[in-house]
Amino acid sequence: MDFLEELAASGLITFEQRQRVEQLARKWGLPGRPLVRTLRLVPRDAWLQAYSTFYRIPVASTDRLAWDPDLAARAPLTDWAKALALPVRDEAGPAIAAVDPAELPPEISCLCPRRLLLAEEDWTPTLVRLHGAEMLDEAINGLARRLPEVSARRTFTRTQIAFIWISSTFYLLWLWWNPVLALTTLLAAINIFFFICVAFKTLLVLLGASRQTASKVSREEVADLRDDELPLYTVLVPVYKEPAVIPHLVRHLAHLDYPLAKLDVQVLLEQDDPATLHAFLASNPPPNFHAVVVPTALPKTKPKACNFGLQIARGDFLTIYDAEDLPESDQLKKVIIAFRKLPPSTMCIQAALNYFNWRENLLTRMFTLEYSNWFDYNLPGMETLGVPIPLGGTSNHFRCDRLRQLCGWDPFNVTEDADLGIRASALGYTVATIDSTTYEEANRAYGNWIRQRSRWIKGYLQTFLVHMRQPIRMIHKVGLKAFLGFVFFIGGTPFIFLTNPVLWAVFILWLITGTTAMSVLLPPWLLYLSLANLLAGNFLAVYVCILGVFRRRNFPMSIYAFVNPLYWMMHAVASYKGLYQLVVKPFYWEKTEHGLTTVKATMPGSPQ
Amino acid sequence: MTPHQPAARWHRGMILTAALAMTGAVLMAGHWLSQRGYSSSRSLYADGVIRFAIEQDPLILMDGHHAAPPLLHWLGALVALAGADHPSLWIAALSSGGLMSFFILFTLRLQKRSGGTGRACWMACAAAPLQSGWWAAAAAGSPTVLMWLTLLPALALLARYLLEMRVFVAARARGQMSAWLESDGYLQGRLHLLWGAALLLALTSLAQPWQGLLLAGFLPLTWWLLPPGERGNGAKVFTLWLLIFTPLLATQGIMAYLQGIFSGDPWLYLHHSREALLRMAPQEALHSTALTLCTSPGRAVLWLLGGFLLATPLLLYLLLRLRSASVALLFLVPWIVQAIMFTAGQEPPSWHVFGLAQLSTILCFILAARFKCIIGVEKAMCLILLWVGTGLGWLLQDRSPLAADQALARSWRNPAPPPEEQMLAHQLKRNPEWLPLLADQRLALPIIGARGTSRGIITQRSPGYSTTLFQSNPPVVTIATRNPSWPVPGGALTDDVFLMLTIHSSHLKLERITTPETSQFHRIHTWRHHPPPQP
Repeated sequence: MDFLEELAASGLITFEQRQRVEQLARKWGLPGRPLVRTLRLVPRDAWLQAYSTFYRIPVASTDRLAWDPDLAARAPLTDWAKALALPVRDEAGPAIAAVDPAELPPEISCLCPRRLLLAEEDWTPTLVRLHGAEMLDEAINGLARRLPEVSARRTFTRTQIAFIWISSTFYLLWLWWNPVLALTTLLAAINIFFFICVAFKTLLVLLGASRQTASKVSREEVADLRDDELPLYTVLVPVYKEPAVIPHLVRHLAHLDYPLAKLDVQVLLEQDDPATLHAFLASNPPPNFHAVVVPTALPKTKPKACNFGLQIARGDFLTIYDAEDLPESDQLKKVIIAFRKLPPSTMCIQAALNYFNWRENLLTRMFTLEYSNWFDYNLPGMETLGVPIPLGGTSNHFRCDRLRQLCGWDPFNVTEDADLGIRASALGYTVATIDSTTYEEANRAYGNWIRQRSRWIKGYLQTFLVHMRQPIRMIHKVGLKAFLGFVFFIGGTPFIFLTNPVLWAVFILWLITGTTAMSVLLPPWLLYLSLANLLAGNFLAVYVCILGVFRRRNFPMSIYAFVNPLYWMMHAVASYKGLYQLVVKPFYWEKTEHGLTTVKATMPGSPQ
Repeated sequence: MTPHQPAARWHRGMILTAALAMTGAVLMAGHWLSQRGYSSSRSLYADGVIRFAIEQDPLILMDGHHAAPPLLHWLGALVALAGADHPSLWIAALSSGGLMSFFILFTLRLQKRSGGTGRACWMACAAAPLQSGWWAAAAAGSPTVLMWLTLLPALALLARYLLEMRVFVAARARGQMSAWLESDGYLQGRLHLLWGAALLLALTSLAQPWQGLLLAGFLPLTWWLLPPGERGNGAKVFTLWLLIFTPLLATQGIMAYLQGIFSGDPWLYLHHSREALLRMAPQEALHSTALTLCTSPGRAVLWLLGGFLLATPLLLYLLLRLRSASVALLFLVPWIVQAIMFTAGQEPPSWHVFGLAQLSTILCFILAARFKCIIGVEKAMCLILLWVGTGLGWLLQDRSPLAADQALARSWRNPAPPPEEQMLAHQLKRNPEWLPLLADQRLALPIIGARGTSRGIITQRSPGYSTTLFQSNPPVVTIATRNPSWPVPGGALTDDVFLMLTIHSSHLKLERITTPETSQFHRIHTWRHHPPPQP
C-alpha cells in the first residue's frame, strides 16, 4: 500500500481527491505525495502524524534543533534547499530534518542516516532561525567580498575622489584665468552630451519600433508546452509593510498558468514587519509559498532581501515580482520557451512592465506613458543594438545558476536591477526582452513618486560610478559600443534630468529679460547646438512618447505626451534629491508606498 | 554564407551605382547648362546665401530674410565647406541620386514582397527621375529637387504602412494570419515606416516652407486610407495623425520661433518666400501659376488633365485594372498637392503636366502593393505603358500651349538670358577694380552666388557695415541698389546711401555706369570718390 492509499484509507482524503492527485502527478511529472500538501487537501498536523506513522520517521521538534555545521559543510546550501532539508542536531545527534525525508535526493540522503520530519511551513522559519545570521552576512557582504570592484559599498573610490578634486580645481583656476572660455567649454560639453543622449534615445525607440518582439514566443508554442517538461521556478516577492496587498498577491501567484507544485514562492519579509507576516499567514497560502523573514540589518534594501532568498532558491529559473504585481498568467511559460530558443549566453529575460491604474490621474497617465516607452521600445531597442540592458525592478527572469555566478544583487545599490544588467554584460551574458507584461500599480501620489524616482536616479548614478571606476577595463570587457550605450543611457538619463532645468532656466531668463549677457558665451555653432537641443531635443522627447501608446493600444493617452515638460520638472526635483542623497546617505532605500490606488487591480487585457 | 547574401550585395551594388550615375548625370547637365549661361535665379540666390553664411555671417542661415528653403542652406553650407563650387547644384544632384537609390531600394522591397512580380513597379519607380520636369529642375540646381527627395519617400512610406494595414486587416478577416500576427504585432513592428514618413514630411516643410499646407490635404486622405473598421476608432486615428504630422507642425513652429527671435516676425520666411516669387527673374516668372493660368484657366486645367493622363498611361491602366474605389481616390493626391501649392502661390515650376506626372509616381508605389494580380503579358504591357508615358511626357513638353511648359522647353533648347545679378557678377569678374561693392542685401546674394564668393562685397549684414558707410573716406567703389521695377519696395540701403551722399556730398560724386535703355540693372550706380580737397 502506498502513502496515498493510506491517506485515502484513513479518510484524510477522498477517493476523488486521490484520483485528482494521481492525475496531476502524472501531468506535472511529480511524485503524488507532496501534492497532497501543496493542494492543501490535508491539514498540517494530520499530515505530519500520517507521514510519521507511515514512514516511521519522527516529527522534528523545531525548538530543540540546532544547526550542525559539520553536516552542513558536506553539501552546499542550495542542495539542502532543493531537498527542502536541513542539517541539524538535537540531543540524539546529527540528523537531516526534511519536508519529505522518505524521498531525499542521493546527494543529501547519503550524508546522514538519521531523519526527522518537518512541515513545509516550518522549513524556512527553522532555517532562518538556525542559519539566518550566516545567510544575512552572505546577502550583505557576499558581492563585496568576492567582487569588491563592482560593489557600490563605496560610492566613490579614492581615484574618483582625486579625479573630481583635481578636475574641479583645474576648472576653477581656468574659470579665474579665462572665464568666458571656461564657461563656453562647459556649456559646449553639456550641450554635446545632451545632444548625443537625446539622439541615442531616439535611435533606441526607432530600433525598438522596428523590431517585432511579438514573434519571440507564439501562442501555439505556449499551448504545445507540456507541464511535465517544466522546471521548478522560484518566485521572489520582497515586501515591506504592505499587509493590504498580501491577499491579492497570494491569489495572483496561485493562479499563474504554471503547475502550482513547480513553483517555489518566497515572500521576503523584514523582521520588523510583523503585520505583513501575519497578513501572509492569514491568507492561507499553499505550503510551497514560503514566508522568509529576513533578520534586521543595514542596509535595509530590496536587493539584500533578494540575496537572502537567492541562497535558498530551489528553482532552475528565478523571477522577482512586487507585491502588487499582476503578471500575465502565461509569463513563466513564455520565459521557459524563450530561454530554450535564445542562445545559452542569455542569462535574463525581462518582461514588460505596465500599469493597471493608468486612468487614475495625470501622474499615472504620464508614468504609464513613460513605462510603455521604456519597456516596449527602449529596452527592445537596446537589445537590438546589443548594448547592456538595465533590468527593470520586477519581472526579470533569471537562470538561477548564472545569477549565483554573478553573486546576486548588489545590496548597496538602490537600483540593483540596472546594475545587475551591466554586470551580466561584462561577463558576456546577455539580457533579452519578451512580449509579456506584468501590470503594476502606478504611483498616484506626487510625493510618493518623487521618493521613488529619486531612488531610481540615485541608483543610476551609483551604477554609473561603480562601472566607471575602470572605464578602459570596461571597454575591454563589454566592447566600445556597449560601453557607449552604458554611458549615454545610464549616465545620460540622470544627466538629462539634472541639466534640463538649468538649460530651461537660462532660456526662461533670456526670454523674460532679453539679456545679452550670455551671447558672449555662445559662439554661433554652440548657439545652433543649444537651439537644436532646446527645440529639437525637447520635441523629440515628447514625440517618442506618442509612440508609446501603440503597442498597448492606449490611444486616448497619446495627447498626454505633450504634458511631458511638466513631468520633466518633477524629474528634475527627484534628480536633485537623488544627487543629494547619493552624497549624504547613498544606501538609504526610499520606500515606495503601494496600495494607494483606488482602482481595483485587474488585468487590462492582453497587450496587443 | 547564406543564400541571401549575394542577392543583398547585388542590390547594394545596384543602388549605389544608380545613385552615383544619377548624381553624376545631373552634375554634368547642370555644368553644361551653366557654361551656356543658364542658371536659375533661385539657385544663384541659394548659393549666395550659403557663401555669405560661410564667409561673413553664419546667422543669415537662421534669420529667414530669404526665400530659399532652410534645408537647402543648411545642407549647402556643409557641401560648400567640403569644397564644392555650386552648392545648390550639388544638393540637387545628390538629392537626385538619393531619390533614385530610394526608388530602387523601395521597389526591391516591394518586388520581394510581391513574389517577384514587382518588376513593372521597379521600372516605374526607376523611371520617375527620367521625367522631363524632374530633370529640368535637377539640372538647374533648383531647390525643388530637395522637396521631391523628401516628399516622395514620405508619401511612399505612408502609403506602404496604410496599405499593409489594409492587407493585414483583410487577411485577418479571412483567417489567413498566424496567431502572432493576430495580435497586431505585425503592424506595430512597422511603426518605423510612419516615423520615416513623419520625419520626411517635416524635412519637406524645411525644403519648401509652404509645404506645411500639405497637412490640410493629407489629413482626410490618411483617414480614408485606413481600413474601414479602423476609421471609427477616433483615438487611434488621432494618434496616427499625431505620429505622422506632429514633426511637420513642430518644424513649422520651430521655424516660426527662430524667425521670431532673430527677426521679430515669426512668419517672416513665409512672407519672404511669397515676395521672392514676385521678384523672380522674368524667364522664371513665366513658370508662375498665377501668370499662366490667369490668361485662360479653363483651357489650362483641361490641358493639365489631358496631359496628365497621357504622361501617365500606366497609372490609368492600373486604376482601371484594380477597380478599387479607395485606390482610385489616390488619383486625387497630385491634384490636391498642386491645388494647395497653387493656392499658396508657390513652387511655380511644378505647376505643369510634369509636376503632376512626378507626383503620380507615388501612386505607382501604392498600387504596386497589389501587383500580385498582374502576371504574364500584363507585366510587359505595364512596362510598355510606362515608357510610352515617359516618352509622351517629353513630347508634350514641347507642344504644350501652357506658357510654363513652353518656357521650360525653351530653357532646354536655348540658354536663357542671364538675369541682371548674373550680369553684374560677370562685370565684377572682368573689372576687379569695381570692388569693393556696397550692395543691397537681397540683391547681393544672387551676385555672390554667380561670383562664387562674397569677398569684396559689403551688405547691411556684413561686419563693419555702419563703419564703412559713415567713415569720412568710405572704402567702396561701386554701389548697387535694388531695381525699382521690382514690386517689392527697396530696402534700407537706398536710404543709407542717400544719407551717406548727403553727409559726404562735399567730396563725393555719383556716376551711372549703364544707361536705362540698354541695361537690365539700370539702378546700379557707380560711385567714384575723389581725394578730399586740399586745404
